[in-house]
Amino acid sequence: MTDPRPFGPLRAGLLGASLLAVLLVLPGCGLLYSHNLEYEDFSLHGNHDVHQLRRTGDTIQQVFDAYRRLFPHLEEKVNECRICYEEDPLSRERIFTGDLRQEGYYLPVLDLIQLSPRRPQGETDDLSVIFHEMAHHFLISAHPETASVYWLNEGLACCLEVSFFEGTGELRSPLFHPTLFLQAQRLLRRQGSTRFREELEELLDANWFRFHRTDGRNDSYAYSWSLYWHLLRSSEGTLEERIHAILEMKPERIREEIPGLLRELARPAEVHLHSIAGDRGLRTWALEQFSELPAVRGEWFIDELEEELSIERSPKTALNPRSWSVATRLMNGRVRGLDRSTRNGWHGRLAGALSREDLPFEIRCAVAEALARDGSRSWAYIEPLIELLEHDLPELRIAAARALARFSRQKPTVTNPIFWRESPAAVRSVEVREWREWYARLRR
Amino acid sequence: MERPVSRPEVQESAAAPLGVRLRGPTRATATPTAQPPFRRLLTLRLVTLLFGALLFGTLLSAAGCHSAPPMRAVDIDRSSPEKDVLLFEVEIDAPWAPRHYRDWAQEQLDLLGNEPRNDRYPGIPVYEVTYRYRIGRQTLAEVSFRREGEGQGLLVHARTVVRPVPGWLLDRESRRDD
Repeated sequence: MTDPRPFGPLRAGLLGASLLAVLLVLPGCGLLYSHNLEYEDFSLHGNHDVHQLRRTGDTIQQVFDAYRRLFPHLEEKVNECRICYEEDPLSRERIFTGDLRQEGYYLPVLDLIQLSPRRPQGETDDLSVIFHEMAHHFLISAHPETASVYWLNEGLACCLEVSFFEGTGELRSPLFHPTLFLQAQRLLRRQGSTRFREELEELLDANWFRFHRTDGRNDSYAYSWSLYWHLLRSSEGTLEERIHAILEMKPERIREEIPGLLRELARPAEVHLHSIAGDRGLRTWALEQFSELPAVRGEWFIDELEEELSIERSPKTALNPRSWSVATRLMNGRVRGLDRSTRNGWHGRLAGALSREDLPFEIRCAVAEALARDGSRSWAYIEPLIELLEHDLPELRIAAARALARFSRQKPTVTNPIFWRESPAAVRSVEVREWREWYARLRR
Repeated sequence: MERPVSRPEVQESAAAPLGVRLRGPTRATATPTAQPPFRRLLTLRLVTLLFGALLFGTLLSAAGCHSAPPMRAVDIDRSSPEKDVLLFEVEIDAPWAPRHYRDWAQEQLDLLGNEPRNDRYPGIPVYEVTYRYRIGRQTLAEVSFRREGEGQGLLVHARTVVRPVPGWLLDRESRRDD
């Protein structure tokens, strides 16, 4: 005989609570969040600092607007979406892990985006996860049939996640993902071209479980990005036209492109970055990517760097602190293949910038900060840095002290910014004199 | 909001999410009244069990339950690279969870007292205390405490930077999870 009351009070309560939790969580319901902001194209929900949430919302709207301009035909079909924002709990506690990939996912059936961006090193969210998830939303809104074509969706999203906004607010999309490129190269080296090709072909028909399997999930992103990037390079027209061309491609046609991809992966990353650096709008970005490579040959970037800091040819970047910072990092990084005179010439030029009163102080600060962060391979910087310790501007004194602290373990110094900002000149001069004596001994 | 869909199979594929797998409504072929009572009861129990497990999992997840390797420092070496900086190099035998680096360093800092001193420069207040964790020569993490209020206040946690360690399985806090 069966129980006449299959729903006892406890069971009914449990079932009801579970159902309620699921129903509340899945649609990203605003009831779950303390702050709910309405924007033109989306609603944003979050629990933490509402001012931070608003800043994030403004950035997301900026991405939305930029994508609308980038995809004028897709744009008509893009739905409104709900975005749930969770500040990365570790970042909130100022704990930064070395993970490169940011967190986020997209549920097409609910037009729901979950964002939990990490802050790899600093105070602000990396925008890549926003670019990534928004790319899914635009593509799947306009082409719902692509929702289950995982390689294609992730390929496009990874191409767009390296995008950035210029100072003018214009979106720039290099499409080249250095991290995934190097990962795809490693896969190719490890597996050989035959196995690499088989893996890639298998991924073209992969379902969700195959694509996101635990042991090869990061590899799936590298395969997908590399193929999509290669297909974009092989197509012509605007980005939107090229995306359409890829959507129209038959599977056999896509497979025919794999040998071409293998040839692209056989070339070093420097070759591709060199090509990107030819685009003036992407040059600073490309130079920064050069500086992130484990080792780089100087001939791939030296002309572009010269152009970047030439006041006659590139007045905009020549007065941009970011350009000077990347120049300092490059010339003091692991660069191979530059002759001694070229290298010394650059060290002299960058060290000279520290002393140039005609340059904006932000540029001089940028050079000193780059030295403080990454160290140096030349003594040419020491004298101008010591001079800066007596500069009228406290920002320059602080940056110079930080850079000098990086130079020598034999000469301990005071790093406290309040000392360099507010201490009387007479007190600071003791420290400056010590530096001068140390440098004089060093030269002898 | 519904999006234009022309074919049923397209609708099915559109429903497949990218980040999370969702199941559609169960295909029902018979009305409840047509089901035998024991079968209905079985279905209800299964549904209850499923949602119960889901709720339990959510609660566990919210509580942050996870296992982590024990925190054990093998050796500690103190130095002062700058006049107002103290550096502690901490040798450990296995990577820790990210928060554990900070928590352990905070405990050590508390033991030092509120005004740690650099004995070589007793007149200069310490501005920064850093704990650098390593296994052999490989640095795993750095925890820095600095004086707040532009260098005049108490020593507070400034940042913890954890570097990925190839070949080590860390707890879930440090794993990629997207």
